[in-house]
Amino acid sequence: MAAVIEFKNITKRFGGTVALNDVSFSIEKGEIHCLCGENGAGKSTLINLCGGVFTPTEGQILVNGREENINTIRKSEKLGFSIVHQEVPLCLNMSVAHNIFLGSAEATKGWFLNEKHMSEKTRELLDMFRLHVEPTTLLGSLSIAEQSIVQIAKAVYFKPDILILDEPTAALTNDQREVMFEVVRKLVKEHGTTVLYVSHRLEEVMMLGDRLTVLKDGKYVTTRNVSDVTMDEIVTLMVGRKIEKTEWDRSYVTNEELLTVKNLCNGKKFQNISFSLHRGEILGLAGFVGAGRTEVLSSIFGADKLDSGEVYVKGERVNIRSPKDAIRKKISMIPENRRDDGLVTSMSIRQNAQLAVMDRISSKGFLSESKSVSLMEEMINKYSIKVGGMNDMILTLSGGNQQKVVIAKWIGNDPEILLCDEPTRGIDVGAKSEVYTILKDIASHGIGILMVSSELPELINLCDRIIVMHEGRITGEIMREEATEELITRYAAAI
Amino acid sequence: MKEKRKKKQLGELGVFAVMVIIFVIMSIASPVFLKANNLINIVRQTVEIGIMAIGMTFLIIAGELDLSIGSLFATTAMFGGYLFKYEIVPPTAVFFLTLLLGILMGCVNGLLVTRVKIPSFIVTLGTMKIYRSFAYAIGDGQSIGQFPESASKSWVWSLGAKINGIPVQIFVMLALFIIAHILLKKTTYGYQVYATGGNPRAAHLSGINIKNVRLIAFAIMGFLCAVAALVSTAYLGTVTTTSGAGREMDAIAAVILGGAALSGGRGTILGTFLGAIIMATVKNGMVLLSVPVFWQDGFIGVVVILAVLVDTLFHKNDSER
Amino acid sequence: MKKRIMALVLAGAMALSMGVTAFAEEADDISIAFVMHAQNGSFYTKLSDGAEAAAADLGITVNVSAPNTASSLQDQISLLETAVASDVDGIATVTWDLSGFNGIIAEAAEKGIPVIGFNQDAEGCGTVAFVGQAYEEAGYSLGKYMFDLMGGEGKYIIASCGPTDSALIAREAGIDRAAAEYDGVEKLETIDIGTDLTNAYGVIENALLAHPDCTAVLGVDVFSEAIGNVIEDQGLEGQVYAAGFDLTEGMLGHIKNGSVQLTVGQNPFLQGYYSVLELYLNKKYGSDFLNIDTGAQMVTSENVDTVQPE
Repeated sequence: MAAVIEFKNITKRFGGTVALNDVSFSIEKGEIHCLCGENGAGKSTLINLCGGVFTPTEGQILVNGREENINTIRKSEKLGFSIVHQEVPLCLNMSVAHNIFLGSAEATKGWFLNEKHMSEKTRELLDMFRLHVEPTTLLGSLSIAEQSIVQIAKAVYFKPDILILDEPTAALTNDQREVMFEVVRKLVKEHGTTVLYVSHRLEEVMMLGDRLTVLKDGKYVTTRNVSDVTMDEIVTLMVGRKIEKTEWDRSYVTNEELLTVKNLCNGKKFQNISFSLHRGEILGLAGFVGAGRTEVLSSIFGADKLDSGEVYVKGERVNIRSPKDAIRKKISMIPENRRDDGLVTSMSIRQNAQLAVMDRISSKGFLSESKSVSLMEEMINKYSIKVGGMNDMILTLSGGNQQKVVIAKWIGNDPEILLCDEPTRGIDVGAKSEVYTILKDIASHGIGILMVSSELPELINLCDRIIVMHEGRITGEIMREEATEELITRYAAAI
Repeated sequence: MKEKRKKKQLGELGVFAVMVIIFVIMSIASPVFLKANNLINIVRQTVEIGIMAIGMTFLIIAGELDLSIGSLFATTAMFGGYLFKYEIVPPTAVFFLTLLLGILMGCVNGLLVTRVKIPSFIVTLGTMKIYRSFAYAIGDGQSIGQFPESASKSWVWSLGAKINGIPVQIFVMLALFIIAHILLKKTTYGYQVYATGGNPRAAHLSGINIKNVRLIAFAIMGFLCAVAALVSTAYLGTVTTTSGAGREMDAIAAVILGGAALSGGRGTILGTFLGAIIMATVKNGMVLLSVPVFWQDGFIGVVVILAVLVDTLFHKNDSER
Repeated sequence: MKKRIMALVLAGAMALSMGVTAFAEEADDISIAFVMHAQNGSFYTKLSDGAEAAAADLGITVNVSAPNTASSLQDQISLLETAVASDVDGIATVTWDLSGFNGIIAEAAEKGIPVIGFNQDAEGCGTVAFVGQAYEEAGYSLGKYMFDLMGGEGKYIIASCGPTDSALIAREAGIDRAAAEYDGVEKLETIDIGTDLTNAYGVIENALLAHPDCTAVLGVDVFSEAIGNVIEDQGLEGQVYAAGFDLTEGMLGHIKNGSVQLTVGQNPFLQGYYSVLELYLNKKYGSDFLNIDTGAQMVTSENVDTVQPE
């Protein structure tokens, strides 16, 4: 088999930081090649080199045996690359069909848009992905999962020679993921497309990949056949150590009810939601995307309105109308969408971390520099956030470290109740386990945690109790001892 | 700590460089430019735009805009002028009533934006016209001048006076810039302003009342317009119904020159100060160099675009990664 | 990156070219600042043409400036401040506000810089002299001519674009003074036609409907040409007399067509020229300052072919 892409001694520096250090490996035609590594390992940089976003400081990229200088995005497209990025770069104000054909010659017929062709082809494509939306639907009205499917569909439609998928499944449910895998396999088989697949979910690597390459701290570690390794081995290669699972087994549940909700209703989003959360408990909220889990969380937090229902904090009836009210009642929320809801990208790490704890770093309305700095140092040490300087811009951090900043921001507020929505979405294995440790530690201090997650192993490992939702209703409650992936899935699908 | 300082200096470096270039060119080209009198004049001529640009900085960082400030300025000036002229209440009371009116008019803008939820561009486009009508109505279309001694001998008029040839209004402006800098950088309110403009959703979820943050910014804007109006009244000894027209664009230009982003979340008071000084220096310089009137507006346009270009060159590395 | 540099170079080139135009005028021994209150019409061009012609004839430097926003007191004051700071030998400006210019004129006087007013005058503002039209006299001349033409009887309407503007009030007062000398002449009302020709047309139309007995519409400003528009469109020639101010192209056309009988010019070129001349003569020969009435230029169908539009 011939190498489609060959990386030869690639080094990429940004100022003083070395993102890639003398990396060499090759990807063969028609294979599904997985790229594994923690955040900051250099995966994104490597993809951006293929995409023409950056050029290597040293070394060469060979495409089909010829050395190519990929210095523009157009050049990359000309060479047959198609890249599906982690963040969805689509136009939310346009329809699904228009997004898929954006920039394509097929979109027009003479001077006019070829609406008929676009919607026919889009419908076929959506059927293939089993996505039940009209081609004319506005993209912005779709869920994040559906949007990322549209993005993948767009890449697949144009049958690229080389398809690069960067964390495509972060928002997808298991079913949607299966469908996507099917389509990718079909593309490889029928069109001979080469796939470079980047994912934090190692079970996906095992399911889909032919070969895998591991990067660590910008250096090449190894390339193996997927059939020759186990998941544990991959994890060890990636982080250089085994992840301790036992530390999460401890339970800190008490009998004291911190938060009780009764018959919460919000239009079509959810109905008759009742449960209670105890001091020291980690309560999981499971279900498919769109089951109404996120909405329940943001309603409790006051970011969404409730139609009816009662909320009690420590037995006292409360009326929370805004996040400010919630914070006053010692409730914190780590939102799902880090970029859009959690961070102010124009601000520094320190400013972001202290957005919700202004009272603690100020007196009489004036900020105290020294209080702020010492609080930040405390946070950085406590949550082992890797930072150059606390005044660097937040976007200089990797996804995992950004998430730790968001968690630190909310814990700094001394909450009694912590709501978290997909706390490990889009972060790597190493950072994930650190987040788990942090959450357990938080629970051990007598804080109740209500956690929405789509990762079943995470729920099973971490939660004392799991509530499962299906289409806005609670369909089951599972205690830690009896929790299995199968049981959760059955409740979630309401079988 | 050290690192922060470095970052900050870089922030205003672009606009500072532009200012230095203009100063060097001007001092070579015109023998008059560096005279103390002329330099004082430049700062004096910065006062009106400068004071209004402070408020605009708060608004732009918070992700809003106010086009009504020229008219707001005129209304408060006419209102104050009317009370001074006809001696309806004592000058001190006029002073505070005028400030109050400015705050109220700013709040009207703010309430329409945050509570009725009309975009600020539209709200203030409307109030720009409405407030201008108020200004005409108060003076019956005519300017008000020749104030009685009860006003012109009162302490309020010292705002427009000179001490040893240096106009008092310069100190008023500088004091306001310093207070605004502290408010924006050292208080929780300033922190909330940056967060609100940077990412309103994240700020809201962090328990910040973004509606009130914006409302207060509009109120500050109205207050500052009223201050500028009082200073101008005391200095010129007359108020005209057409005053302040076009000032909104000057103020926005000064803020943008100072490195603020119209999309919100970025900007500094120091940058705005330098931006306002540049605006005044360019206007002054063009007169000294006898640039034909027709070309003066165009020249200011070139400076604005040039300065923003220089700024993006300085900030190019920030966005890469 | 390349594009950015291109843009920088382009903007730099623009700035430079403007700078070069600026440097073209070299300084001379006598320099005069000529500060107008606006620059948005042919009228102002005539003013500055006059000043520049004087500069060329006398071999001195005249620096013409005007606020970018028409009639912005703040901007005009800034321009005057700059002139004072650059130690010019004299300043000519339009003191259109009652008291707004008092401070800066006093400051100039302290430094020994004479300030002469032109075009519009504010009483007691401190200018050394005024070069321009005596407004009331001009209004009186207009009234006298028209009422004679009307045979000493009729009813008239005054059309003003700013019934509260002091200069226009003075012209109106002059017309009224003339009317008082005729027993058969009666004033109906003063209408506000605003500063837009289309709007003015409508206002005049309405006024004529309301007063079918009206025999004359007399304008007091540059928007007087709207009167002629109404008369021509509605075929009122011969029934309604009309007159107004300023030599706009439209107004001269109406005179030629006979729909308007008289318009009064104020020769802005002369105002610009004379104010510079006075400052020059004072500086060079110590000649005393004196008010100059640039007069009322009466333009009728007899002499309309000899004048240029302003």
